[in-house]
Amino acid sequence: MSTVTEQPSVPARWRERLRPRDDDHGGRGRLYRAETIILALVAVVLTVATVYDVVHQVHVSDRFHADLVSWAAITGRRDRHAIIEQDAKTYTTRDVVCGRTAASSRSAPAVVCLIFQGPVKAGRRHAFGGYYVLKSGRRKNRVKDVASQRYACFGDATAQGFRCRVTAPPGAPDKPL
Amino acid sequence: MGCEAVEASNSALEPQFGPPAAGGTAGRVTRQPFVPFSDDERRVGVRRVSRAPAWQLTVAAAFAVVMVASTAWIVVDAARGASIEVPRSPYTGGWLRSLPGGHLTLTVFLGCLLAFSGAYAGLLPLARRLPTRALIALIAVLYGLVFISPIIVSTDVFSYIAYARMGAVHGLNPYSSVPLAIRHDPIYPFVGIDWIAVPSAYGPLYTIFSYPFALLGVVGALWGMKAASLLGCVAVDWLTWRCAQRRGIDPKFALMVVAVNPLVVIYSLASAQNDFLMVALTMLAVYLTVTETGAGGAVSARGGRLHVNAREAWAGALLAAAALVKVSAAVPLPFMIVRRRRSSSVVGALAALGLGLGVAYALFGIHGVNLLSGVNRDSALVSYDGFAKEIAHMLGKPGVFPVDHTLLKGALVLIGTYLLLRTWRGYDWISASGWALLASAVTSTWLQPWYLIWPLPLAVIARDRRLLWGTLLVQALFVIHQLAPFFTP
Repeated sequence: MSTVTEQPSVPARWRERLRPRDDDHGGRGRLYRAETIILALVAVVLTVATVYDVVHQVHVSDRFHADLVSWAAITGRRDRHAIIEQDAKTYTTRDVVCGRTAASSRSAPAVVCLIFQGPVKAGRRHAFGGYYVLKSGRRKNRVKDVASQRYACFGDATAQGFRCRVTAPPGAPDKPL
Repeated sequence: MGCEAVEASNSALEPQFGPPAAGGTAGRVTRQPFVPFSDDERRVGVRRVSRAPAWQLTVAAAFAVVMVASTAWIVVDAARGASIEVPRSPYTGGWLRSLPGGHLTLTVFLGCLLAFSGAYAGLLPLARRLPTRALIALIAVLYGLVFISPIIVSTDVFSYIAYARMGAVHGLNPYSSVPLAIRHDPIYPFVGIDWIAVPSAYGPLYTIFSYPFALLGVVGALWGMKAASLLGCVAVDWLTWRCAQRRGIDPKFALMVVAVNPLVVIYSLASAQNDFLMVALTMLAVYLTVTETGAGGAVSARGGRLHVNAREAWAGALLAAAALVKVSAAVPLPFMIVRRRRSSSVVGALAALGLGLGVAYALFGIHGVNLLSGVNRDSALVSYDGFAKEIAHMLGKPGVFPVDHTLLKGALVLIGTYLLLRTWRGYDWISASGWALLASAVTSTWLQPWYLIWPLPLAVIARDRRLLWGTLLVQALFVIHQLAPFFTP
């Protein structure tokens, strides 16, 4: 017949550790050093992440600036209200810049969209193609860049996966540029 | 240890529940050798430090001039009208338009912010040796400038007024209606576009507090909100000074850290944030615990009778009240309860919470007592400055995903649990509260600059000096993160 000794629900060692104390004795001990190391690592990670993000933001802004400059150079127009769309599906550096065309009128406002991809070289980016979009909405001021609104794809737009209508929608200028 | 020894001995006079605790006065022993206060120093609560030499005073004066000049530049340019950093605002400070200046551009704002932050960093090491009057004069000038300024950076104050007008003028419940419902009200055009379809996320105590302002008209309410924010900020400064005195920390340094912090002056005060009211209530609770003398009332469980310590009860009640202003202020409460182990604080907190929630239920219904709904909604948002987003970018991800929100909440729970355990084991509860508030800001995907002022007064009076370094580092990183437009064409 064996003797059964009652085990405490919480080991004595842990009970001692969890016992409330009146003062913190970990000030200069291993715990303090371990905490300090962890805090220093967290600080390094946050610092690196912040600096990386600033550099990332600068690169993105540079890219957008190059997009706008390239769009203006190709179309020969300056549009202060040009729109830049980023690739939100596959997160590449492919941007689409849409701005008013020369043939755009109040009754048939069309925008020309150019697809840019690749690195910034001498402040410019290479356009792979593009398409046209007729502005929609009651006041004809909304650019709805969806397949049903795009027409007359050119360059590598179709190869890049952009679907366009072959014919211009009613009221749209045939040769907007 | 000097002042601390006085507090500890007073605290020991207090009959308590559970094992004797030195409360807020106990905690980590400072790592620097502590020179006890002289009797005279203890009486006035300020360590006598030799005056700075003339060259240090000159350098300090130059830094102060930079701070005032950069603030003035922002204010004068902001008065010219709306810009990227200045939201559309009702007519305030129009007379400033007669001063020379242009619209506040992002470059000017960031340049002034950088200059202000640099001067602040340069001034901090000199704070201990500066004349107190000069320090107070600097604070008064800076606060006066941002008080007369139009609202900058944030449209939050217009949301406060909109919610107040919804309740006080239009009879709508701000917790179940949205500002869009008062689109014909004169305040509506100024509410931020992101918030026009969102019910109030602020605590019921703040909503009740804001109702009288609504009756002053839009401009009157705006001035009222600015005044409330300013008074809250001054209260935080004063309480920080007093707590630092009681904890044997140089009050001038403590005041300098908090009062002229760039995120306090340029971001929070200039946009009339209500966070100051929350922090002021929290600091008042801390002040009551660090100045406890044992004369507040009979406190004992002797003879099976429950006595309540008035100071402890008020401290608990004030922290609960702060949580009813903004729910984030609930963070220090468990740390105070776990460390001080006084039933009075629990009783006070429960009484204040019960009363506040009862009034909130009577006025706003069930929506008014659901304090966490606003927090949950905001925690799902992602701001430009969140550290989570920065780390996601560093790891090659485009942004923060729902699984990241879950991971961050899990990390915050772990940090909170660890801090509670450490506090139970004797760690300074004020330091633990500061760490928890800092962790909640860092792990938040919706980080705003005024969230980083929550831990600041606690950090400067904490026993753990790492907290102050950590808080200032996180604030510095926030400022650095704003600088990207400087380097773009």
